[in-house]
Amino acid sequence: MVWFFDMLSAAIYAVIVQNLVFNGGYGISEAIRMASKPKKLFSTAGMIIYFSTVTAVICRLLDYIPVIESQNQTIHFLIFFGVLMAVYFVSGALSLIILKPDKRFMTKISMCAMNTLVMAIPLINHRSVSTFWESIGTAFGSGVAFIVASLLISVGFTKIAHNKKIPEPFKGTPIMFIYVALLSMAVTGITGSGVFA
Amino acid sequence: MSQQKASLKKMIRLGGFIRNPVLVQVIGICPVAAAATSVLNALALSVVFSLSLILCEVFASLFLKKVPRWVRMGIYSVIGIIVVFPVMYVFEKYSFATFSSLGIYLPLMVMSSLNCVHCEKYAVKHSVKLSFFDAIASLLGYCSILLAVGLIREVLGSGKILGIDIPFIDGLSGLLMPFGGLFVIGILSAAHKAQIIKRQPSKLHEIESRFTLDESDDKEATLTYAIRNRFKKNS
Amino acid sequence: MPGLHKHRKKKSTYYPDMCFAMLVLLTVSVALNGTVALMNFAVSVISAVAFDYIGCKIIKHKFKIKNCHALFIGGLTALMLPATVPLWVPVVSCAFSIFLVKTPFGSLNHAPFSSVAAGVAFMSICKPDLIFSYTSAEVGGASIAQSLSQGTPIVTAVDLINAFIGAVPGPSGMTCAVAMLGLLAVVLIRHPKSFINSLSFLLTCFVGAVILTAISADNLFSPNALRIICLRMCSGFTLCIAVFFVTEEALSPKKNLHRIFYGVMMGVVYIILNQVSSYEDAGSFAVLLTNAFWPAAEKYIFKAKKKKAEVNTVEPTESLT
Repeated sequence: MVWFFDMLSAAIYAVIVQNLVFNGGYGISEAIRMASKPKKLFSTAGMIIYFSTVTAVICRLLDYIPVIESQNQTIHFLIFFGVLMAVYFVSGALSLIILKPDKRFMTKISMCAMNTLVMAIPLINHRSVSTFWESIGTAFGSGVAFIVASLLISVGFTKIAHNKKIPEPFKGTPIMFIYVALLSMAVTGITGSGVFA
Repeated sequence: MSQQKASLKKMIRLGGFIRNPVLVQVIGICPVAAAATSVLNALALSVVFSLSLILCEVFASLFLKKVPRWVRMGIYSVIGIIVVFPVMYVFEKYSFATFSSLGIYLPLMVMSSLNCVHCEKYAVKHSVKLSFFDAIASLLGYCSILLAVGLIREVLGSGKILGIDIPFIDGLSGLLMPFGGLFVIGILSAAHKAQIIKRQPSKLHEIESRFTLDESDDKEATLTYAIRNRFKKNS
Repeated sequence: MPGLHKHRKKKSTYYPDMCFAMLVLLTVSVALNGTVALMNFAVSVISAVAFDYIGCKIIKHKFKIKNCHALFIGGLTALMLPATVPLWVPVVSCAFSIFLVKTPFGSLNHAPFSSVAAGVAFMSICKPDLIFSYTSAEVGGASIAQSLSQGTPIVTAVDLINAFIGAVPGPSGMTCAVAMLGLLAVVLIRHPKSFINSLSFLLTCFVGAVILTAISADNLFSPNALRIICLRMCSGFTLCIAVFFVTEEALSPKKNLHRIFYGVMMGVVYIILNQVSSYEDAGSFAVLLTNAFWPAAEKYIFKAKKKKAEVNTVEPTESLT
């Protein structure tokens, strides 16, 4: 059961204690975008979880190979990037063959895979020397963190929509940035720092 | 020649200033909010972004018009890494301080949505020359905000300017965190909108941010549209 | 229904009442910390009023000092900081509260976050060493909240009477438990509905204090364990949140059941944050986090009722158009 608690604690850490979207700023533009379309949020988050988990697992396994482990950060990044690209192209090709989806679905896959949040996970795992199960937990947590962030921002949309008193220069995008910043500051208070940088 | 100049000027005004990639289109926020904590960092990011976007747009315009979109998206990231990898390598070897202060945000630039959105929205539909102009216009808008955010955060957050201590300013370290960056972007965005209202009220409709790549989804994906729609539903 | 209409239009007395309540805390603070507390309070209030005036001018809103919101921000900020804090700290905190939280959302009653909590939280992140450094000869500079969170034996050295009258290190205006309990009585009399928030918050904190003490103490009913429970309830921002934040009119829900949930939620967040946060007292963050999560909780927990209401109101409009 130790593996399960390792995984769970890493996931909780990535969602609550160090919410990757708010504390690290990873995938923040995508989270704001998704907040305006809450109906599409869960499918997007599902894809993010898929890409981040598969990439994190492969990268962690590769890190067990001594030749790769001894490389510097730049080479590590190059390897992780290669893994993500391989996962992306294979997943894209498979979904084209099996699901025969429309263009919009494929665009969505691209937007989810080509995301700072997805690419950040293997790098974070490598930097924090996570175990195999912790890596999976962090990857899964990143998707949940994305959902939490988008939902909170989405509810903020509603609040802002009700507010007719917002001064004209702040209406729209500016007030959204300030709202997200306040959310981010509130979450930062849990640990008092922005790690994973 | 004068036509080209006028076209470039118009693109810079519209793409760089009026529809600024960061303040209006909400693209590529992660590096601006998290990594632009000093002028030097912002400068390093600007150089990498500039090379990456120009290469991407030119390449997309030249060779990728017939390639399916989902494949193109992967190729943009590959082009990104061609630029980022040598820069990372040089920083890690010769300027480890900058490399450490940028953290994992430097490699993450290959995933920037700025490349994808601009290549997909513009480069694959236009000529090389126009794509190049578009890249220049967007970069002027993006890098100016990157540098402004870096400068403000360095002065107020660290109490320094270009690494030199400013007397009587005690840095507010909170501004160096991602939320601090978002606050600065929010204030700049409001100032930008106030300028548009004051000087070009007719262009106000232009600053509705559009998010998705899918043209049919464009209206639905507008932030202002979404808020308005939500308001209608709620009332 | 002219009477009802008139009643609805009646101006809220919440902020003026709270400003008067703060005068009590200021008196206690001056008695305990000397004129330096008065100086801090004055600077904070004056700067808050000046910033609010500038903010209103920027957004072209009419500046109204009568609503007392600026005074509330300035006064509460000063009382939440240590008396010895440099004067620029409350000024920056008030500037943050007004320019980045109050003004962008259109001034009074429209900000989705507590302005004061945001300002204090920002300064806590920027200057934790200044915000949480308290001076007192009696217990060597460590506040009760810090001692409790670190489990240091210093807690046993604190006299319970001192903790009640406020002669312990802590935020300049928030250490006197007796004064805070008096203010709670004022809330009960003047704003009985808001008292529901306070009560549910305090009960949650009490349950939390009992659980935390039960985990660490051998016997929950021993005098020492009961002392620790009392100290937990009197320490840090617990009573401050109960009086000023959980009741804040602009952010509090209006229905009684929602008020109870709101108080409980803030209490739970406060207890958990104080255990996990790296800050000595995460009261301001607890308020912000509750402000952040409450709209979502309200939307998803009380979803069914809302949906019904929406159907009732939206459908006829659609059919007419």
